[in-house]
Amino acid sequence: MEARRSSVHVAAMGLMIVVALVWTLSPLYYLFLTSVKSIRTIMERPPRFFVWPSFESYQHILFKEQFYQFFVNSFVIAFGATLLALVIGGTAAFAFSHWTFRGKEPLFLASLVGRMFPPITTLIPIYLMVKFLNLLDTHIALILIYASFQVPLVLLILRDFFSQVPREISESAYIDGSSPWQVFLLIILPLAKSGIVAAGILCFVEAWNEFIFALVLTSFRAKTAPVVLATYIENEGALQWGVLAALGVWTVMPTLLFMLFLRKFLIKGLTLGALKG
Amino acid sequence: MANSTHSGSTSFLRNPTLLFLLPMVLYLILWRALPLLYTVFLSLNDWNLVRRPSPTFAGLENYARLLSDTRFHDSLWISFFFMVVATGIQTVLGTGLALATDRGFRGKSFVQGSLLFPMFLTPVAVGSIWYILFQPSIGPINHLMGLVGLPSVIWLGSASTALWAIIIADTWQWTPFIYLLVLSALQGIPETVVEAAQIDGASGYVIIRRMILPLISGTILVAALLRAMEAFRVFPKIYVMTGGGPGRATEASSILIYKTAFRFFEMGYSSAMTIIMLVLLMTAYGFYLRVVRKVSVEY
Amino acid sequence: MRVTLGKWKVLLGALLLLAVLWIPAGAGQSKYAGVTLKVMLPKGFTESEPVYDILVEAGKILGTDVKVSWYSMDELHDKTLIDFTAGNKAWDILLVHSPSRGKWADMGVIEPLGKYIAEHPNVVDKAKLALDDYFDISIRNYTHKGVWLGPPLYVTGVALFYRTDLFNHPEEKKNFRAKYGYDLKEPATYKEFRDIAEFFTRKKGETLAGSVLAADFYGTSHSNKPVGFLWHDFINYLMAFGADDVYDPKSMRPTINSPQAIEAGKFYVELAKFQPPGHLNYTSGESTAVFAQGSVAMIVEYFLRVADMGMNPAKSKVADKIAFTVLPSVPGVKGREHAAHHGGNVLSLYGLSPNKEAAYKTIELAFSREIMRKVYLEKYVPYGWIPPRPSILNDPEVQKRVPWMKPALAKLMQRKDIFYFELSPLPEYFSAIDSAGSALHKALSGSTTVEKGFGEAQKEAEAVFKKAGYIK
Repeated sequence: MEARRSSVHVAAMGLMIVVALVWTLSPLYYLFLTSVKSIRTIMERPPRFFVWPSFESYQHILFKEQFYQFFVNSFVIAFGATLLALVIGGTAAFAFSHWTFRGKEPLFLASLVGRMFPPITTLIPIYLMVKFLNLLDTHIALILIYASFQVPLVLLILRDFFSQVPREISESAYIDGSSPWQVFLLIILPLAKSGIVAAGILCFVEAWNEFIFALVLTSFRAKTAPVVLATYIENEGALQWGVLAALGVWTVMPTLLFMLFLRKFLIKGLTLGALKG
Repeated sequence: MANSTHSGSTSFLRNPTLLFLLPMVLYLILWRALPLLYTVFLSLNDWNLVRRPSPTFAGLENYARLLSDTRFHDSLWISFFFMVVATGIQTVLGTGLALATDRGFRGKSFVQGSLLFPMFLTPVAVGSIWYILFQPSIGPINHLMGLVGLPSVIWLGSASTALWAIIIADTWQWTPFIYLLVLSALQGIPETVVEAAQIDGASGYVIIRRMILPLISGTILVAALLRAMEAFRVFPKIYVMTGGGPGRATEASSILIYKTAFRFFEMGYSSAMTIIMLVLLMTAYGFYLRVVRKVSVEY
Repeated sequence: MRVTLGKWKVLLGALLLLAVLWIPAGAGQSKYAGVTLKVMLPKGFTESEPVYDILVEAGKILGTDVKVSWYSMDELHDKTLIDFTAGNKAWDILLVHSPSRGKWADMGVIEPLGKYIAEHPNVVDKAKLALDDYFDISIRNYTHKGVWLGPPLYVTGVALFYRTDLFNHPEEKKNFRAKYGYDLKEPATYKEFRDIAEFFTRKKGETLAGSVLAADFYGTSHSNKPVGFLWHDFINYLMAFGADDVYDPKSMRPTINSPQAIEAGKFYVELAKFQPPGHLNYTSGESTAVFAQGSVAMIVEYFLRVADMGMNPAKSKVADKIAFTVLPSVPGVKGREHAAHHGGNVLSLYGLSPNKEAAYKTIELAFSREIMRKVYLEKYVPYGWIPPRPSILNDPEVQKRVPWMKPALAKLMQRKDIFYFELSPLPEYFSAIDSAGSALHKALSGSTTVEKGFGEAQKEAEAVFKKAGYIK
C-alpha cells in the first residue's frame, strides 16, 4: 500500500518496527550469547553482554552427543505430519467452506475438540494404540499422531481462507462442468496459497516442537530434537545452560531456513489480487 | 450449479461432501475420539498407579471430589486468566505489526522474517532463555533496569509478578503466530481495491478501519481462537520457568493435571480434571464461534 | 589327489586348532555376547558420566552392547512410568532418582539388585560384587525394606563448604569477634551458621576481605525452587531441629506442623535475607554455580557437585579458596548431630527387562573394584567423581592425586557421629512435600507465615494419608 502520508506517520511506523525488532531479536541474541559463554562466565554478576566466544558447548553437542541424527528425525517427522495434516484438513475445509449440510456446525465444533485439552491426557491410550500397532520408536507413529493434532488447526485456518474465494469463480467452473475435485485442486488451492503456506508453517513448527509424545513414544531410533533439548533443562547436579542454549540455537536454524525458502509465497499480489480486481 | 445441500440421498461414493469429509472424520475418530473416550472411562475410575495395578470403577466419585477441590478451581482460574490476557495482548500486537509491515519498504522481507523467529523455538528453549533473562541477580533484565534507575524485580520468585513474567515470555514467542496469519490474510487483499479507496481521498486510518479490518476480521478471530486454545493448555514454559510456583501462583491446570498424574500417580482423578477442563472450554468456544459467525464478513 | 587330501587335512587341522583356541576364550563371554542392553541415564548429574563409562567398559569385556539413551531426570521418571504401565519391555538398566526408588521397588518398576542376587546365587561373582568394600552408610542407605537396591554411585552426602580467604582474613576475624563475641570458625551450631551468614552479607561498595565489592555478596545460598529442590535443602534443617520428614513413621501421622518443624521453618525463613534474591527459584546447580562464582561465603551442598563445579579451577573462580566440614547441629537435639542428607540415586534393573542376567553381570562387573578404579584414574580424577569404594579412596595413588580425599574421608565418612538420613519411600510422600514445600516457599517469599502455611499443609497431608488408609 504505497500512499502519501505525513512524515510523522512514517516515523511512528518506523519506530514501532524498530521496537518490535529489538524486542524480538534481543532474547535471541542472548540465547546465542549464552551458547558461547564458558561455564565460568555464565553465572557472572553483572551479566556480560559481549564475550570472547567459547565454542565448548557446540563442540560438546557435535562430538559428544552427535545431535544431528535427532534433528534429521525431527525434520522427517515434522514434514510428514504437515503434509498429512494439510491433505486431511484441507479436503475437509473445502467441504465446510463450500457446502452446507446437516450437522455442519456440531461437526465443526467436534473437530476442534481435539485441540482443547492438554495432549498429555490422552498419552496412555495413544501409547497403548501405538504399542498395539507395533510402531513404538518409529517415525510413522509420530507422523500419524502429530497430524491428528494439526488437522483441527488446518481445518480452522483453511476454512477461513477457502471461504474468501469468491463464489462466482467456483460457480462458473461448475457451470462449465467441472467436478468438485477439479474446483478444489485447480481453483481453490492456488488462490488460497498464502493460507496453505501459513497453515503449513504452523503445522511444521508445532510438530517440530512437540515434546511429550516424542519423549514417550521414542527411545533410540526416532528420538527428536526437543526431547534432547529438554534433557538439558535440569540444573540439579551441574549447570547446563551453555549446552541448552547451543541446542536451542541449532533448533531454530533448520526451521528458519525452511521458512526463508517458503517466504516467497508470502509476497503479496500473487493471483488472488488480480482476480478480485 | 454450486452444490448447496447434500443429504444422504445421493449414493455414498458419488457424494462429494462425504468424500471430502471422510478422511478427516475417520482420522480424528481414530486418533482423538477413541483416546478421549478412554480418558472419560478413566475419569470414572479410581486408579492410583502405586497402590493399584489396574483401574477400579468408582463412578462419579472423582467428579464429586473436584467440586470441592479449591486447588483445581484456582488452577482453572489461572489458566483462564493467562489465556485471556496473553491472547488479547498477542492479538493486538500481532495485528498491529501485520498492518504496520504490510507495505513496501526497504528491508521488508528481513523485517517480516525476523519478526517470525521466536515462534520457531522449542517452548522448552523459550522457557529456559526467559528464565535466564529474568534471573534477579545475573539476568540482564534487572541489570538493564538498574542502569536506568528502576528497582530490581524478583520476576519469577514473587507471586505477583511470576504469572506476568510468563505472559511476557509467551507473548514474545507467540505474537508471531498471529502476525503470520494476519499478514497472510492481508496478502489476500487486492491492491486495486485499496488504491481505489485512496484515489477517492480516504485517509490511511479510515482505510484500515472501514475496509481492511472487516476483511481480515475473520482471520483475526480464527488466529485468536487458535492461540487461546493453545494458551489454555500452556505447559512447558511454566514448567521450566517456575514449576508452578511461587507457592501455587503459576499452577495452571495443565501443570496440576501433570502433577496429579505423574507425581501423585492419580490417573483417574487427573482424567476427571481433563474432562471438566474440556467441557468448560467447549462451552466457551461454542459460544465464541457463535459470536464470530455474526461478526465476520460472509461471502 | 594326494595333494588335495593333504590340503584338506591342513585345513581341517587349522580349523580344529582355531576351535580349540577360540572356544575357551569365547566361553567366558559367549553367554552374554551380542546381548543389547538398553540403559536410561539422566543428564546433568555428576555421577551419570562415570556410571556410563564403567558400564561401557564392562560391556566391552562381556561383549554386551550397552546402548544408552540420555534424558533429564524428570523425563526419565515419566517415561519409565509410562513404559512400565503399558507393559513395555524396552529397557534393561535405569538410574533411579532417590525419591522414587522405594516406590518403584514396591511397584515392580525396578528389580532391586539384592532381590536378584538372592534369587540367582549361582550367577553372582562375590569377588566382583565385593559388598564388604562399601561404606556402612552406603549399604544402609541403599536398603529398602530389608532389600539392597543397588550399588551406591558415589559417596559423601552433603557437606558445608566455605571460603577460606574470608574465614582466615585477620580484619574479618577481628570484626566478627567484636560483633558476636566469639571467634570466627567453622560453625558448630546453626546459630553460629546464621551469625556468619549475616556477617558476610554485604552490599556492593562495602569492603570484604580487604577489597571493595563490585556487586552484592551473600552469606549463603540455598536452592529453593519449589518443590523438590526446596525440600531437599530444608530437610537438613528439619532433621537437625528434631522434626520428622513430613510424617512420624511410628504413628504414620503427618507432623508437618509439629513444634520442631515450625521452629526449623522459621529459622530457614530467617536465613532468606542472607541469600541472593534468586534463591527462590534456584536449582542446586545454579546455587552451586553462584558459590563457584565467588558471590557466596558458605554453602551446604553435595560434595560431588561442589567438587566438580567449585573445586575445579577450570570451572570455578574460587577453586583454591574452598574448605569443607560437617553440617552444624542444633544443641540439645539428641541423635541428630550434623544431620545431613546422604543422597541415594541408584542403578537398578528394569522390572520388565528381558535380559536381566546379562544386565546384572554387566552392572556387577562395572562396579567391581578393578573397573571402577581404572575408569576413575583414567578420566575422573580429581574433581569428576568420588567412587563409593573405600579401597579405592584409601588407595595411595588416588590420595596422591586427590589431595582433599584424605580430609574428606576423615571429616565426612569415617566419623561415627554424623546423622546421615535418607528420604521416605512412601508413595504419598511427594504429595505431602508438595503441600509443605509450597507453604514454605510462600513463607520465604513473605506471603504467609510458617505457622499458617504448615498448618494448612498439615491438613492437606492428613487428607491424603486418610485416603491412603494410613490413618483414620
